[in-house]
Amino acid sequence: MRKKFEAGDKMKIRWPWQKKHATLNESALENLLAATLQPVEPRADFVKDLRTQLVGPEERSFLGLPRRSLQNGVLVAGAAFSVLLLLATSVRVVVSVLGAVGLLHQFNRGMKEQAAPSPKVAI
Amino acid sequence: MAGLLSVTLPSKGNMLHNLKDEEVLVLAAQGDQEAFGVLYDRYIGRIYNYIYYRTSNQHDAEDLTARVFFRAMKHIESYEDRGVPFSAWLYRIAHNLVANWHRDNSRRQVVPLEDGYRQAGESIHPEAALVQLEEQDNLLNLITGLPEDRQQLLILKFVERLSNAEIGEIMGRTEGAVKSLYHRTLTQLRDEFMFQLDEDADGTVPEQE
Repeated sequence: MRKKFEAGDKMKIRWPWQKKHATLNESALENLLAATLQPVEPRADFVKDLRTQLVGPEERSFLGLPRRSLQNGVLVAGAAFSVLLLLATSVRVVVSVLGAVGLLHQFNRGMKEQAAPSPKVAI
Repeated sequence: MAGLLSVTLPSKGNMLHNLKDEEVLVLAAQGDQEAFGVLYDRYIGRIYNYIYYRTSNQHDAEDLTARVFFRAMKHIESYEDRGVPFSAWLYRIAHNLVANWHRDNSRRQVVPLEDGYRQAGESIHPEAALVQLEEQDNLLNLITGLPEDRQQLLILKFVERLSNAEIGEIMGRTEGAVKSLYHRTLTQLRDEFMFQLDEDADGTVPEQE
C-alpha cells in the first residue's frame, strides 16, 4: 500500500524517457551499470608519492635520464670507442709490418749490391 | 656505426615489465624493490578503483590503497603460491581493509561519489543528461546498499572488467557460483531500481509497514 500525495511531499513528473524503465530488462540494466561504474584514474601525485614511499624514488642521473639508461649509454659508447681503437691499432700494425718488410727487402738488396763484383774499368 | 650506437641494452626494469606476475613476485619476495615497483605499477589503478567504489570517496580510497600496498610489501616474503593469482591476493587484502573500514565507520554518513568522475553522454539533450546522472546516482546508492559480496562482484565486473573466472578466483567461488550470484544481484538491483523509479514518478511515498 502506498499513501497518497500530501502537501509537503515532493512531486516529480515522469518524463517520456523515464518510462522506458517500466520495462527495464537485464541488458538495459547492464548498460546502465556499465555507464555508472566507470573506471577512475587515481591522482598522479598520489600514485607517484606512494611509489616513492614504497620503493624509493626512481634513480635519476644528473642529466635527468634514468641512471640505468645512462649506464647503458656509456657502455655502448665505450664499446664503440674500443672497436675504433682496435681498428686503428690493426691498421697501424699492418703498416708497421709492411714497413718492416720493405726495410728488410731494401736491406737485402743493398747487401746483394755490395757483394756483386764491381765492373772492371779499362785503363 | 650509427646502428651500433643506437643499440640499447635492455634494462632490468624493462625485463621485469616483460615477466609474468608470478616471476616478478619471486624477485619481489627476495627483497627486490624494483620488482615490487613493477607489481605496484600493474595494480595501483585496479586496487584504487575497487576501493574507490567501495568507499565512495577519494580521500579514503587513497588512504586504504596505500595501506593495501604497504601490507602487501610487508607480507610479500611470506606469500605462498597456492594457485591463487597475486591479483586475487591483493584484492583480498583490499577487501579486508574495506570491510574493517566499513565496520569502523558504520555510523558515519557515506559521502557521495564526486560528480566529476561521472558524466552523462555528451550527445544527448541536457535535460535527458541530467536525468541520466540522477539515475546513475540512484543506482550507485542502491549498489552501496547491496551486501558486500554483491558490491564486490559488480565492481570487479564493470569497473575492472574481469571475467567470471577471474572474479571467482578473487572471491574464492566457482565460476558457476559467480554467474548465479550475478543474476541474483541484477534481479535485486532491477527490482529496487524500478521501485525507486516508480516511487519518484508517482509522487507517492511508500507506506512504512
